[in-house]
This record gives sequence, structure tokens and C-alpha cells, in this order.
Amino acid sequence: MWARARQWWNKVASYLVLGAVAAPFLTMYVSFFLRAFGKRMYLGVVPKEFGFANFQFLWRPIAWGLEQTTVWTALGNTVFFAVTSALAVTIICMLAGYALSRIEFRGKNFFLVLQLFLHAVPGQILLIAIFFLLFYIKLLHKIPGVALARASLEIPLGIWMAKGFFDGIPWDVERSAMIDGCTRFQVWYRVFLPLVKPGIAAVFIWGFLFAWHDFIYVYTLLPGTIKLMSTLIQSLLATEVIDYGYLAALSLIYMIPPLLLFVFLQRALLRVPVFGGKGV
Amino acid sequence: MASFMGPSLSLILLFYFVPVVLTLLIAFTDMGRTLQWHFIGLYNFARLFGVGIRDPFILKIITNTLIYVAGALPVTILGGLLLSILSMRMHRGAGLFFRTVFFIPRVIPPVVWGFLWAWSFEGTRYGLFNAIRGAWGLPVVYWLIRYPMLIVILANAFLGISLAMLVFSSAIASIPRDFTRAAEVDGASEWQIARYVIVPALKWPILTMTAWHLMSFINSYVYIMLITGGGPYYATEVWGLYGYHVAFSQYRYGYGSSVMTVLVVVNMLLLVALVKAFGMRRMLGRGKIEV
Amino acid sequence: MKSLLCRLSLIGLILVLVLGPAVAFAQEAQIETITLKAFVIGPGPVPITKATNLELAAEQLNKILEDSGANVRVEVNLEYSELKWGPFAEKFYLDFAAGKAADIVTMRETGELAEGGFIVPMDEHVKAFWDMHYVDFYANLWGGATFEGKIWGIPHDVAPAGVWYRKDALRALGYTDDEIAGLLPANGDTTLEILARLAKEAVDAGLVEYGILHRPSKGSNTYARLLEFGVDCYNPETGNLELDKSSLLAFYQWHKEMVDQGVIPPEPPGWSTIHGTFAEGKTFVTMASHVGTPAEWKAKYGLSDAAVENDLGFLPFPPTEEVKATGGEAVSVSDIPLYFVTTQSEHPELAMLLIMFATFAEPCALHSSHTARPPYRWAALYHPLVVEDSYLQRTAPSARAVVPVPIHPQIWSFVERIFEGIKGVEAGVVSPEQALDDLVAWFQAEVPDGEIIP
Repeated sequence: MWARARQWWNKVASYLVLGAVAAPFLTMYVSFFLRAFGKRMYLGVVPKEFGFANFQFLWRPIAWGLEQTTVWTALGNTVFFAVTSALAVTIICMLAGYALSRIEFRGKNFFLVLQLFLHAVPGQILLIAIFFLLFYIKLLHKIPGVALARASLEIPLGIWMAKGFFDGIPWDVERSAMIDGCTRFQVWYRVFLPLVKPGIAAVFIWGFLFAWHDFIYVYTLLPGTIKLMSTLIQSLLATEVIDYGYLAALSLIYMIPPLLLFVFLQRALLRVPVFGGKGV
Repeated sequence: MASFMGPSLSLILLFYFVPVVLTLLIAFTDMGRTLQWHFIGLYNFARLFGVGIRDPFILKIITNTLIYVAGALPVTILGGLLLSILSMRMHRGAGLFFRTVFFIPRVIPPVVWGFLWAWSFEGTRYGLFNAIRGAWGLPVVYWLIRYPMLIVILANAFLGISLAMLVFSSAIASIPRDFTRAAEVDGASEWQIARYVIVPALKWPILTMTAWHLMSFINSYVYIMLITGGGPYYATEVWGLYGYHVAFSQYRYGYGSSVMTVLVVVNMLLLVALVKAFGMRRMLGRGKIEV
Repeated sequence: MKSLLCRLSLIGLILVLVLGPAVAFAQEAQIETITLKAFVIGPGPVPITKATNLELAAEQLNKILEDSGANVRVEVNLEYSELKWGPFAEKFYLDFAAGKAADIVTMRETGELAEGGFIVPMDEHVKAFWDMHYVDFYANLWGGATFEGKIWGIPHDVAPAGVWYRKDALRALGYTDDEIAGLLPANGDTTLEILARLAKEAVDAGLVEYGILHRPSKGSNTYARLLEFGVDCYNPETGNLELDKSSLLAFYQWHKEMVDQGVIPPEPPGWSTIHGTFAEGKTFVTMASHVGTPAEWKAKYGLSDAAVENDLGFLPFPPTEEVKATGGEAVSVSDIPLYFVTTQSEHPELAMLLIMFATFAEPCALHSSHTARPPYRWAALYHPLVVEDSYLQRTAPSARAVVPVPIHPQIWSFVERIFEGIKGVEAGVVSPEQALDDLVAWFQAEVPDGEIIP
């Protein structure tokens, strides 16, 4: 009898423990979602009235502090920033990934070690220097400049990813192409790229996501007059309007585009050989 | 060949190596808001290390950083272990559900994660948890003033847990079924299975996750900035955040650079120590850590 | 005869045809248009008149240039920024370092700018036009523009800070209007302790949520509140910063006491809460505003004109009993932004003339009428726009009582440090004594020529 009780307890204990740890988070996520749609809250969690009132920034300028801006400007800026960064990451990593995968050159191992080394110097530590760097090359306070700086942070692992995709393509493809008289670059461009479309999509999403979510680079290196979604939300949170429903709604809108992009590129990603991870 | 590697190499040179050197150079100046600077040698570092004049906040900041790392690291690793072991033991769907819940912090933007925590623990009755307390008739708690370090540790640790849990779960899934089956047949309890089969099999992931997050937490400051801004009166001001504030809030770029230089040096030393401890080959061979 | 005439007329025609346009063109080419670039700060959209006044000035200046037959015209390229002071200054310095600074800029950091060689002294200009123009400015405003004995910029905006309080809360407590006027007179002849006591009564009676709210970040109001305690921060005789330990300790201890009594919240709320709750009557006293703030309350927080007239009271910052006993008076402080001419300007004299035109009585009155801030010169008081505005009439004298924040390159870092201490003390994270010790340690490290008074 005791054994069965203990068995039952063992089963239930996991659920209890995980449930207890997850409960505050679930509360946070659910109320966050609900808060975006509700005005006054009952019990602090359940909205009394549902509505889209909090989403009015979609058709009205946001009054923050004494300034006015529209969410569309911020969204537009963020799209520009993220796409620029993603393009830079994709192009650069696809080039380098191919080289590392195919071309035997000395120092290849060194490069891999380098990636590890570079991760010990995270971008947020080098911000001061990057601020002045961009200033001296006249790219400070401009979205393309900051996008480039941001892209450089994703390049090490992006190359690793790209290399993985290229590794999956058999050598014969290359051999036949080169026999046909193509240069390396043509081989890359005409033959390989179409074959690693999932890889391109994956690296693009990778670069896009990190740039879309970026806060500290955008906050520090862009002037206060150019607002992206992340800095917009932060300034509303930190300084002026602290209507949480408003912020929640804004955050929801902020989180949607990457999902859209993922859905859009999903078909390309489905045939991904490298993404075979277990777990989530 | 050069054109393939060229762009990436130049970008890495430009945004990794040059900044490291530049940080050091600026640290030797008194560059301030006016962008006029003079070479002042080791003055900034002297102030940091208390030679001659001393920065009165440095001690507090070092303590904060140590407490923060010492708090966040165990929570991350132990939490990740706990979550992965438990969620892999339970019914598949439920396990997946829980792992998804705990993976969410990593897929939402940092600002939103910071917003969630800042809102939940806001000190007025509009903060989430205070509103819930209010519903039960309980008074408001000034969370961010009373427990800033705890909140900040949890916010960052759960972010770390999302990755640790993922890595550990993958590793657990690849433990051959026979091992656990055999142990069960031998009458081992869940606890014993966990302790003698699973954890040893996870030895390598645990070590790599510890190393990874150690470096991560020493440098982290963005979430702290978003949630407490350095905490009431430097209560949660960690080293990286101090460097950022000195440079960009107080506009003392020279001094801020010296703070960051120290951090860079610490990182380098840590990396060397880790590489020595783990051995280079094994790191390369096994160290495919997907973020 | 005929042929000669024909030839002459032909030559004449050719001459006219060829030379005519050339002469006309030559005359045209002689008028030179000089473009002056101006970088003007709000902060926020309200004081846009600071920028539009420059445009107005250009028009008038051009008219005079035209009338006097000069061949120069001025055009203003305006950049109006709603950024706050800090980021604005940062942008200015970045532009300057890139060699692209504006000709005219509005800032308040006279000391820093003058020392660094960013601005051109306007001493000669002011002296030259003193009798016809600058003598009319309120004398107390020049303090903010003077550094090392010279005048470096022209005042053009003053927002005297003070204490706003809700009379309706006092009436609900049972005070009559006469009693209110006696306790909190408009000239500030009262003490901080009385104000705090009334705030506590209002909070205890449950009439208001917040007793006293102050700024969530440092500002000129912070300096004013330091003056309430007799903390000058500056020694005008030596030109050095000054740390008055006992007064600062009293300052910190007062904040702690207020938090303990529930008058001040342990965490300063954000701007929208400060303004919103005051406009709704849920805050008794706000120390975060100035004379012009009612314009904002009306526009953004729905306060009615009637409410401003009847329910709000204003007075300069009253001193503490201790300070009053030694002869202290109520003070008002204001940011005094100044029109500066940068050293990167190629036409400094023209820029100075433009600034002069932008600070005539008419632009001054336009600015006051638009921003609800008092005029900064006597002549503007007689302008119809100001005469007809009862609010401006009522608040005009406050501009003359304003004390400028001392001009020292490090004054704002010092005030910021003091403010950090306030936040810590209010949060209960550090004791007033410890906050003072930290402040002293900072002062000794960062301000080597500062003076410490026990």
C-alpha cells in the first residue's frame, strides 16, 4: 500500500513542483495578454471590460511626455533596422559559411576557436567604443550604421549555422559545377544558394529576430528622435505613460511581426536538416 | 577565397577587435560630454582601484556583482536540472507544456521581459502582484525597493534556465533507455535514478552550461537596467551597469571605458581559465551550444 | 544723317540689350543671403516660440537691412528639438565635434560651454546695445549668463519654479480662504514645516493620496529645495562648489521623516502620475512644476480654467524654520536657457543681431502668451497680449524674484548626486547619515577644489 502511495506521490510531485514554479509566470503571461484587451481590472488579473481601447495607438498618435509619435513610425524604423541587419548577416554568413565548409585553408580551426573567444566579449561591453567608432566613421545616430554593428554580433554563430547547411550538400554538386567551368563565386551563387534555401531562411530569421528584439544598441546608439519599438516601449515604461494596458497592447503588436515572418518563411524552413533538436 | 571570408573578417575586426582596443585607449583619457579629451594616463584606473582617490561606490558595486552572479548561477543550473528532469519524467504532453512555458522568456523581446517584471513588481497598486494582493485585501508591497536584488536575480536566472533546461532535456533524451530501465528494474527510486543515472550523464552539459552562464552573468546588465535601473541607491548596480551609467548617463566616457576595460580583462582571464580547465579539443568537439 | 542715327540707335539697342541684364544681374548678385542655423531646445513642444521667434526676428532684421540699403539678407534654418536637456547637449557636442554645429544654440550650461571654447562671448555686443535693448531685461536673469565676469548668452525664457498646492483640500479640512492665505501667502512668507504639516493633515484625513510630490529626476526645482534648507552649493566669492554638511543632513533627514509620516511616497512616481494626480486633486502639493505648468495641466490633464483660478495656490519655495530664523526668504529658481552663438559660426555678429531681434518686446510677449511663462523684460509687460492675460499679469512678478542656478561646470553633477541620495533615503535603503557620507566621499574625489563646511 505504501509502495502504491509512494508511486502516486512520485507522479504527482513533479506536476505539483513544476506547477508551483510555473504558476507565477503563467499569471504574468496570461494577465499580460488580458491586460492588453481590458481597461479596468478585477482582482488585478481579469479585465472588467474587454475592448480594443488600448490599441488606439494604431490609429492615433501616442502622446508620450509632451511628444507625439505614431506606432507606425516606430514599426517602420524597426523593420528597416531588422531587415538591414538580417540582410547583412545573411549575405556575410552565407559567404563565410560556404568558405569554411568547402575551402581548405590554413587557420580554419583557428577561426572556430575565434568564435568561442569572441563570445567572451559580448557586444554590450563594447558599447562605449562602438559609440565612438560609429561616430568616427560617420555612421552614428543612423539606422544602417547601428544595424551593421548589430549584425556583427550575430555573425560568429551565424557562420556556424550556415556552415552546417553547406556541410549537408554533397561534394559531387560542386565538382560537376566546377568542371563546367564556373568560378567559385558562380558556383556559390548559382548552384549552392538555391540548394540551401532553408539555410538562407534560417540565417535570415536568426539575424532578423535578434535585430528586431535588440534594445541596448538601439537605445544607446540612436538619437532620441529616432524611435524603434523597443525604445518606444522602454521610454513609455521609464518616463511618462504608465498605463499598463497600453504598454501591454503595444508589446503584443511588437511581438507579432517576427511570428509573421516565421510563418512566411516556414515552408522554406520545414526542410531543415540541422534543426533536429529534441525537447522543445 | 578572400571575398568569401573578407566581409565577415572585416566586420569582426571592426566591431570586436577595434572596440576592445578603443575601449582601452579611451580609458586613458578624460573624454566627457564635451568630446574634448586629454590624455590622463592611469588616473581612471587609479580611481577604480582606490589608489590615491577612490570611487566611493566601487566596493558596493563589486559586492553587488558577486552576489548577483553567485545568486543567478546556481538558480540557473539547479533550476534547469530540476525542470528538465521533472518535465522529462512526466507525461509527454505535460512535459512539453512546461518546457514551453519556461522557454518563453527567450523568445520574447528583452524590453517586454523587462516590462513584465517591472509591471508585476511595481510598487503601486497598479502593479500586477500588488493588484492581486489588493484583491485579497492585502496591503501594497514595495517589491522593487525591498527586494531588488532578488527580483533581478530571478529575472535573469529564469532566462538562463530556459537555455539550460533545453540543453539538459536534449541530453536526457539521448540517455539510452536501457540505463534507466535497468535502474528501475533494480528497484531504484525516482530520486536515485536522477542522482545516479541522469546527473552523471549530464556532467558535460552541466559544466558547459555553468561556464557559459558564468560568463553571461558577469557581463549582464540590460535586464537589470530595464527593471530597476540599478536599484534604489545602487542596490542592484552591477559592474557592467555601472560602466554603462558612468559613460552614458554621467557622460564620463573615459572613466566608463576604464570600468569596461576591467570587465574585458576579467572575461579574458576567465576564458583562459575555462579553456585550461576543460581542454581545448573537448570544447571544440562537444561545445556546440545553440543559443 | 539717317545712317548715323540708325547706327547710334543700333549701338544703343545693343548696349541696352547686352548691358541691361548684366547690370540687373550685377545688382541682384550683390544681395547676399546668409543662412544661420539654429538648434533650439524645448524641451517638449510647448516652448516652440523660442524657435519661431528667431524666424520672426529674421523677417524684421531683413526689413531693416533692406531699408538701410544693405546687401545682406538673413535666412534662418531652424532645428527645433523636443529632446531633454541631457540628450540635447549630447547631440550638440557630437555635431560640434563633427564640425557641423549650428550658429545659434539654446542651452543652459554656460560654464561648461565657455570653458570648452564652444561659444563666443557676447559681452561686447551686450554692452554695445545695452541702453537700447538689454537694459530692459530683468537684472536677476543675467546671473545665469555670466561666467568669469563676462556675459556669454542672452536670456529668453524663464519658468520660475514654485510650490503648487490644492486649496480645495484645505477647504475640505475646514480652513477658510483667509486662513489659507495666512498660512500659505503668495509671497512665500511661511515655512516648509507649515506646508508639511498641512500636507500631513490632508493625507491623514484621507483627502489625498500623496501629500507632497517632488520631481522624479534632478532639476532646477531640486536646487530650489536645497535653498530652502540653506544649501547654496556654491560659493560666489571663490567660484567653487560648496558642500554644507549640517544643512544637507537636515535636508536628507527631512525627506526620511516625510516618508515615515506617509507624506512623501518611498518611490517617486513618474511624471504622468505626478501631473495627473495633482490635476485630479489627489495630490496636495507638487514641487515638480513651475509657473507655466497650468498650461500643460489644462491641455493634457483636463484641468479647467475655473479650477486653476479657485482651487490652485502657488508660492515660491518657503524656507525651513531654521533658515527663516537666520533671515532666509522664499526662493524661486528657474532654468535660464540662453541663446548662445557658437565658435563654429561664420557670422557671429549677424547671429547676435538675430538674437537681439528675437528678444524684442513683441517676441517676448508672444512667447509668454503661448507658454504661460512670465515675460523676462519690462517692456513686454505692456504688450496687449500680456496686458489682456490675467494669469500672466498675476504671475509676472515671480520672474523678477528668480535665483539662477549657479554657473559652475560641475553644478549639475553635484545636484544629481544629491538627488541620488534623496532617492536612497526615501526608499529606506540608506540612512541620511550614510547618504551624506557617500556624498562627501564623492565630493572629495570628484571636486578637488570644492569646499566642505561642517
